[in-house]
Amino acid sequence: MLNIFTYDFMIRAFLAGGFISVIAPLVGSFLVLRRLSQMGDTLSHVALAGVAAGFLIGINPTIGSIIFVILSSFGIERLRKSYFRYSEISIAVVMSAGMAIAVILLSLSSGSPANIMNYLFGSIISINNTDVLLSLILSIAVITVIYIFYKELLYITFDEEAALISGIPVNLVNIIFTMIVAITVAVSMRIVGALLVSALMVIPAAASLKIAKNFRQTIFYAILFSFISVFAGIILSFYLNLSPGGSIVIVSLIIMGLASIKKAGN
Amino acid sequence: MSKIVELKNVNFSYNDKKVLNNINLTIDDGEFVGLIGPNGSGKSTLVKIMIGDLTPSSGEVLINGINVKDIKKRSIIGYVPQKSYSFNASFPASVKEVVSMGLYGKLGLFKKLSKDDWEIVDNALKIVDMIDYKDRLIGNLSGGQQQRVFIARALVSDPKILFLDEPTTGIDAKSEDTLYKILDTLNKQNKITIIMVTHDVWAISDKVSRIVCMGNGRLYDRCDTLDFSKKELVEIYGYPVKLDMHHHQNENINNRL
Repeated sequence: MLNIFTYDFMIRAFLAGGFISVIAPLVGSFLVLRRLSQMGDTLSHVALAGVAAGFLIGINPTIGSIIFVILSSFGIERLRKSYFRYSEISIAVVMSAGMAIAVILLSLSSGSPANIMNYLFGSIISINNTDVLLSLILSIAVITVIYIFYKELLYITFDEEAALISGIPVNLVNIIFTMIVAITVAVSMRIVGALLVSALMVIPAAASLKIAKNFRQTIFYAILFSFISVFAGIILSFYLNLSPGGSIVIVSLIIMGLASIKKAGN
Repeated sequence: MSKIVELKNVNFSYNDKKVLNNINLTIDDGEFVGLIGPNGSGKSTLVKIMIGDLTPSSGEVLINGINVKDIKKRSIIGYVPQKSYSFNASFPASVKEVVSMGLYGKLGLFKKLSKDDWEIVDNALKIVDMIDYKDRLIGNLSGGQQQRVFIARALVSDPKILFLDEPTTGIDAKSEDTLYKILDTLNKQNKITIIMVTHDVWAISDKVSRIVCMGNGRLYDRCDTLDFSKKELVEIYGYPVKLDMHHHQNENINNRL
């Protein structure tokens, strides 16, 4: 049997995948509990518009996508407030807007679609050293911010109104969290692909909700499940010659199924 | 006794609809006030004005002599919102975690909970007799138990005044009894001023030290429940409005006939 660790590209996949497997469910758990599970998906559609805009006006498409994603995540935050009980409206509207703008900008720009797709969707086995470093820096930044604002985020996620009344700077914390989500999506979709980022934000958290006894455990299990999914998925894909992103998502779904069975058994 | 809450000529409108009409109210330190009135009379709005969540269109709200919007130490105000109004019952937080949230505002940004803080959480849970449930998920408790957890959350910041909005909604008679016992202890032993909103006129008359009545955005000063005349009740509960509607319906039917 081939040894998976003799290949540099596999080691890079494990490293970058490992970093992103920690931060995606970390921010994802808060999103799921705020009824914004589709955030990853939506922001990756918006990123498409950003890449197209980058091509059109001649700036670096990655920077274009990060700017678009951050702006649109503030748009989502605004809409979420004005449709307080229907948070999901905000992401659905922004997803449509992102797609519409992307289609228009693409029809105007001369960049070839294949080129655009390269900018947009990474693959976990085509990671270079810069990507590994970038995902490490991103992870440290995200973990630090969530650690610092953990208690405020918990309260706001649990009951935004009560948090505000008790004197928590809700707007400030929401802005910081929104930026963190936007940057996490924009950067990690470039490295591991949009499918994987949005899946790792939601599926491990959904599995964790079935068995966690408190909020700390919810976060802990979500990260654990995500980490296991990434490693098992990469190994499976290597030996069975499958798509790595797809394999990781399937493993995470199996874990979610097991968590549901455990819950039903209790 | 010193004044702890003072409302001077408070008016509040929401979308051009006058919700509060020239409210004047003084509450002394140590009182247990029952604020009663029918649904839609403006009770919850009045409470939100008193805790500084809403700003009056005109008039002044003073807590301990300071305008409620200027209070630095917000932790002196405890607030237990209407049950399940804004919280998601299947949220994966333990009772202990929910109660600790009451300390976050007081601690401020960048500070983590210390060992002492967790002890304060335990003590609050003991006061509301929920310490045995501290590691349970909040969603797995009954309505009455959840209500007690939210009272504990309001207590951890060591408030001087506690506002409760319809705390007995959706809980059974036995839990209601427990709740009143807890509030009595808090008022008499812990010297916390309590202001409780309810639409249940008759249940609270022997529990509180004073009753304030509300109807159509106005306060009715003298309204000991026993002295309620039929006329006053009609005024507070707005029955004439209902009778009018009845009348109109009949008219419509007559017209059609």
